Amino acid sequence: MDFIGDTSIDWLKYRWYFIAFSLIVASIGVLDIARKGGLRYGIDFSEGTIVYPRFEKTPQIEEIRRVLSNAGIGEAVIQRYDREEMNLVMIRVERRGDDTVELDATATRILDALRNNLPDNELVDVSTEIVGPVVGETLRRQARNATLFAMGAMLLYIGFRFEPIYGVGATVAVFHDVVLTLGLVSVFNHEISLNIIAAFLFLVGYSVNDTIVIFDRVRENRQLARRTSLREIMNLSINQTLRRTILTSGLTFFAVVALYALGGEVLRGFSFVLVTGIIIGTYSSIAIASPIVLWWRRYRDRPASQRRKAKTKPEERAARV
Amino acid sequence: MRKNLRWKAALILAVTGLCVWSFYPPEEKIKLGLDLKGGIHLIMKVNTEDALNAVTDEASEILGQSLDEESIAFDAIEKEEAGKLRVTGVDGTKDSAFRTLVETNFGSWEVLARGGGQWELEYRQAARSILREETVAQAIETIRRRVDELGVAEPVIAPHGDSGNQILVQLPGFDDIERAKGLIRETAKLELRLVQGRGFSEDQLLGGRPQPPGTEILSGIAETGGTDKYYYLVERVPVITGRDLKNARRSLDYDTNTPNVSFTLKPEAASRFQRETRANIGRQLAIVLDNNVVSAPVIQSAIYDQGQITGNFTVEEAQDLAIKLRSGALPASLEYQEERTVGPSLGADSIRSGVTASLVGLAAVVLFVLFYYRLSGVNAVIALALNVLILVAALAYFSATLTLPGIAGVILTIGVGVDANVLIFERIKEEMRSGKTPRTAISASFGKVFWTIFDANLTSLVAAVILFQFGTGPVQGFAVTLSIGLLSNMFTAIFVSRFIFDFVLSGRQVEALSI
Repeated sequence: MDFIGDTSIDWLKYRWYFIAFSLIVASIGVLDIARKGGLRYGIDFSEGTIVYPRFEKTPQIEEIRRVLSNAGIGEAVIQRYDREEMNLVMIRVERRGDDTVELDATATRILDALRNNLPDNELVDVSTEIVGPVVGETLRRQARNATLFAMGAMLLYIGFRFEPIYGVGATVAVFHDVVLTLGLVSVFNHEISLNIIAAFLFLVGYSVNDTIVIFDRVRENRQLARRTSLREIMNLSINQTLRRTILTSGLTFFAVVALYALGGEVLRGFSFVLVTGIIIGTYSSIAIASPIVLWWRRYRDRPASQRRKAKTKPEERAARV
Repeated sequence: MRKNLRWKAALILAVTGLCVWSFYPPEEKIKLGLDLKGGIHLIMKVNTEDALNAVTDEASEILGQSLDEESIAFDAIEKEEAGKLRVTGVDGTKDSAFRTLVETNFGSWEVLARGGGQWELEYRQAARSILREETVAQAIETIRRRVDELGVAEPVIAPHGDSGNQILVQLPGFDDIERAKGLIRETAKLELRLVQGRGFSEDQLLGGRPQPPGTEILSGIAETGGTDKYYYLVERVPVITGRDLKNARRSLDYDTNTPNVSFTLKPEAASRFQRETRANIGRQLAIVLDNNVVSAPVIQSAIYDQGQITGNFTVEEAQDLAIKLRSGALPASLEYQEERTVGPSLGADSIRSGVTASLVGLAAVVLFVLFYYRLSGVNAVIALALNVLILVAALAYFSATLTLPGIAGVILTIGVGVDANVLIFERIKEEMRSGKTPRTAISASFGKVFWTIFDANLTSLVAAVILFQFGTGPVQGFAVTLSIGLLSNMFTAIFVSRFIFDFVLSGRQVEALSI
C-alpha cells in the first residue's frame, strides 16, 4: 500500500523560502525570549526559595497572595500543588540578592506572614526548597556543555564517515532545531526544567538520524550517477526517501502527541518539545542540512571551474553544478 | 541455508529468553527514579574547614605533649585560625631543638620563626587539599553507610559539582525528609568523658574558681529530666570515642521499658574502659554526642566492653542513633545547599499518565504499521517488541534507574527502531518496483540500508557516550537508555528482521510479498 506516490519536487529551488521561514520563526522566538527577559527556568534551575505549606483547611489562593503582598513579598508565584488533598500550596520567590542568606530569610518571612495572618487556617506541615545560585548555574552549564560536546562529536563522526561538510550541514541543522524549539518553548510559556533538557537531547538525536538517512542516500546516488549535479542528486535523494521520512515522522509524531495529550501536567513541557522537535527536526533535514552542503560545494568549486574554463567544455561545466 | 537459519533462530530465542529472565518480575527489576517514584534529593556542602580545625586542635595537643617530653619550655600554644598555630615564649636556647622537633614530627606543617621566642606553624597548602579530598570521601562513605541502614533502594551518594566539596544524595521512594536529613547531617561524634561537676549555670559549676586545666564545659540535659539548661564540667580527653565502638544497636531498658542504645567496644578499647571505670567507681561518666551531654550515669562497677546510652529517645530516634554510631562520625559538618522532595503520590500520578500515554502511542504505531505493511508489518512489530524487551532487560541488568529523561530515550529508540524498519521496507518496495523478485529485493535492501542504519545509530551512540561523560543526572539517564536502545536496535532491525524474512521465504518460491 502506498499513500504517497513518487515525487519529483525540486526541493532545493525553495531553499530561500525555507531559510526565510526559519529566520522568521527563529526571530519570533529570540524576540520573545528577549521580551520576557531570558528563558524561564523551572524549579530545577531557578535560584530562589520555594515553600510548600500544607494547611489544615483548603486555603484561598487570593488570600495567600494578599497576605504575602502585605508582607512585601508581592512577586511570589503561588500555585496549588497537591491535587488530591488541595491543602498544599507552592509559593516560589526568585532570587534577588546575591547570597543564600537572603534565600533563607525569604522562607522565614513567608512562613511568618502566613502564620500570623491566617489564624483560622493553621499550617500543619511545611517544607522548603532552597536552590542557591551555584547549584542552578552549575546545572545549566553542565547541560549546555554536554550538549555542545555531543554535537561536536557528531560533527566529527559524520564528517569522517561522509565528508567534513556533511558533518557541518547536519550539525548546523541540529543547532537550527534547538534554537527554533527554544524560541517556541518561550512563546508557549513552558519552563526549562531538567526534563525539558532531556527532551532537547531527544530532538538532537532525532534530527541527526533524519539527516543521515538523506545524506546516506545522497552518498549512494552519487556513486551510481557520478555525472549528475549534486543539486539533482540531492533532490532525487530527498524525494526517494520522502515516503520514509513522512512515515517515520508521522509514526513517532503519533506516539508523542499521545504523550502530550494524555501525559498530564507534569509531562506537558517535556512532550511539547518532543512534538515540535519532530516537526522541526524533519523539516531541517530537508530545508537546512542539504542546502548547506550544496552551497559549500558551489563555493569550493567556483574558482576551480573558472580556472578550468578554457579547457572544460561548456556542457561539462554545467553538469558539475 | 536451513542450517544457517537454525543457528540464527537459536541465537534470537536465546537472547529473548535471557531478556525475559533478566527482567522478570518487572516490578522488582525496574528501578524508578526520583521524578517517577518520589523521594528526596539533597545537595550538601562539606565544611572542610571543620576537618582543618580538628587537625589543628589535635596538632596543638600533640605539640604541647611533645614539647613537655623534650623539656622545651614554652608559655602557650594558641590557635590563630584553622590551620595556623602560634607558639609563644619558647626558651631561646632551644631554638634548633624546637625546629627539629616540629620538622620531624609535623611534616604537614610549615614552621616559621617570628623572633623573640615566637613561632608560627602553618598547615601546608598541599596538605590542605589532600585533607579536603579525604574529608569529602570519608563523608560520602559515612553517609553511604547510614543510608544503607535505612534500607533505601538505589540511593545515589556521590561527589557533586566542580568545587570539590559538594555531595549529592538521592533517596528514591523515601519521603520522611526530616528523618533523612537528621540522619545524614548529624555528625554523631560520640565521646564518654568523666564528669568533674555539674550545675544549672556555668557560675554555679565553677563557683568563682578558675576553670581547672584539662576540662571543658558542655551543656546537656539534667538527670532529673527537666528542660532547663544544665551544664557539666567534664575532662577534655575522652575515655572512649565513637572510633572505639565495635557495634551499636537499639535495645530496651528493662527497668523503665524505654528505648535506648547499647554498644559494644573493640577489644583494645574494652580493656582501657575496664581500667578507667574500675578506677572511677561512684563518679559520673558523661555520654557526649556532638558536644552535647545526652546522659551522665554514675559508674556502679567496672564495665568491660558494653554500655548503654539512655535518653528520652523514641524508638525511631534510638534506631537512628544506633545507625549513626555504627556508621561512624562525619569528619566535618554538612550544610544543605539544595533540597527537594517529590511526593511519591505526585510521582505516581505522572508515571500513571505517562505509561497510559506511551501505551496509546505505541498501540497507534503498531496498528498503523500492521495496516500499512500487512504481513511485513508483523515482522516490524516483532522487531520493535524485541527491541523494547532488550532495552528494559538491559536496564534491569545494569540496575539502571528509569527516569522521565530515560523515557525520552526509550521514545527515541522506538522512533529510530521504527525508522529502521520503514527504511528497509520502503527500500524493498523500491527494489521490487524495479522488477526484482522478493528474495533478491530483500537481500539487496538489507545490504544497502545496513550502512544507513549503522551510521545513524552510531552517530547517536557517539553523542550518547559524550552526554554520559559530561552530563549529570537526567542527561546521563537519557544517555544510558539511548545507548542500550541504539545497540539493541541494530540487532533487531538488521539481524532479527532479516531473519524473519528469510525464515518465511525459505524453501518457497514466492512471487509477491505482503508489504
